[in-house]
Amino acid sequence: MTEKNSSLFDNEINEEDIESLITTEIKKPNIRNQWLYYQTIRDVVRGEYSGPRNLSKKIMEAIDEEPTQIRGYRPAKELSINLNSYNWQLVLGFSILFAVAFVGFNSKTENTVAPVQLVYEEMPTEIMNAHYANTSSTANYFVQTTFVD
Amino acid sequence: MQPLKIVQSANPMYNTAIMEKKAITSVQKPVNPERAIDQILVEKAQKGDKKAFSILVEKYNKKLFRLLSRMVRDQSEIEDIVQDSFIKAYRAINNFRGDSAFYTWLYRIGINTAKNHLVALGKRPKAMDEVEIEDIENFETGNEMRNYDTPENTMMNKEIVSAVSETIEILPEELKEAIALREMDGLSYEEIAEIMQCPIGTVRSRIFRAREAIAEKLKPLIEESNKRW
Repeated sequence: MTEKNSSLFDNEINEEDIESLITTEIKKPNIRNQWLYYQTIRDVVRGEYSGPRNLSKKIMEAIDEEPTQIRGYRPAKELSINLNSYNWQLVLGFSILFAVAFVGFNSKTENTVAPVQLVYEEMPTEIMNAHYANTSSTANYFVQTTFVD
Repeated sequence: MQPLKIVQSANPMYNTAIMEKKAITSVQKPVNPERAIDQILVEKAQKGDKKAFSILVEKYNKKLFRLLSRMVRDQSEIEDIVQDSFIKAYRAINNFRGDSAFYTWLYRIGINTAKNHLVALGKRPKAMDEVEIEDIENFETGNEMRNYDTPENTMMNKEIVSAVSETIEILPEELKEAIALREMDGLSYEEIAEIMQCPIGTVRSRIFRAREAIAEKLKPLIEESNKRW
């Protein structure tokens, strides 16, 4: 049993001693019982004793089953979708996204914007034929020609 | 259960100083040492140190149990709620920013867990108004603890109380004074050192030795008692 643990019980310990208590002392067998004895003494002296129950062992067994919490790190369990719980908002969001994407991919793109005349210039016929042969009719800049004889 | 009576010290310094206790304790300390130590433990737990969290469990599981016994009557239900509360606290430990004391935060989790538990059972949770929640930090008393002990456990508890009081009585005077000033009067090591006119290290040692002497007597009784619980 250690004096540092007794000091910690009284909140009369410095940071360095907490460090050594956690890294070395707490690994010693029966160190946890020390707190139970100290708490019992305190409760008896103050007339608050109600029994020797100590839940810490049971609680720590449950916490040991938990993924280790590290600030800034989110375990994979949290990131994955929990299908057991009915998260309707998530399901609804994905459904809307899927519907929008489906409609978008399957609808025929039509240029409904009226053509705007940018320039008016007489072009040689062979240039215009080459333009028609190599440019898609849906291109942003499609030269609309009016043949003038 | 009545508080244990500890005979007044023969040391006149003790008696004089205890009268001056009010003046000593009125000195405001800049930092609450309990809160500061808890914050260190929380920060270590946030870095993945489960052992640091286990110290917080050791520190507060009985206090939380007593607090929740105000709201929930069944002892095994309280145990489950205490366990759930610590698990929730551990899962949310990274959200704890130290705006309040750790135990205030923990007790709020405990109270909410108890309320949810009662609602799930179709029971109306006993109202715990804001004043009571604010008073959590000062919560110490176990007066409302309901006794579900069997006659055997009651007998064992009496034996434990007797063992503690009898062992304190036969402790050397300086150990008896140190443990009494700490546990009965709740004085800090610094205050005890002033009263007993000795270094803080000596106070630390005396309190530790007193506890160990009492714990030695308690050990077989508590082990026996734990088998029954």
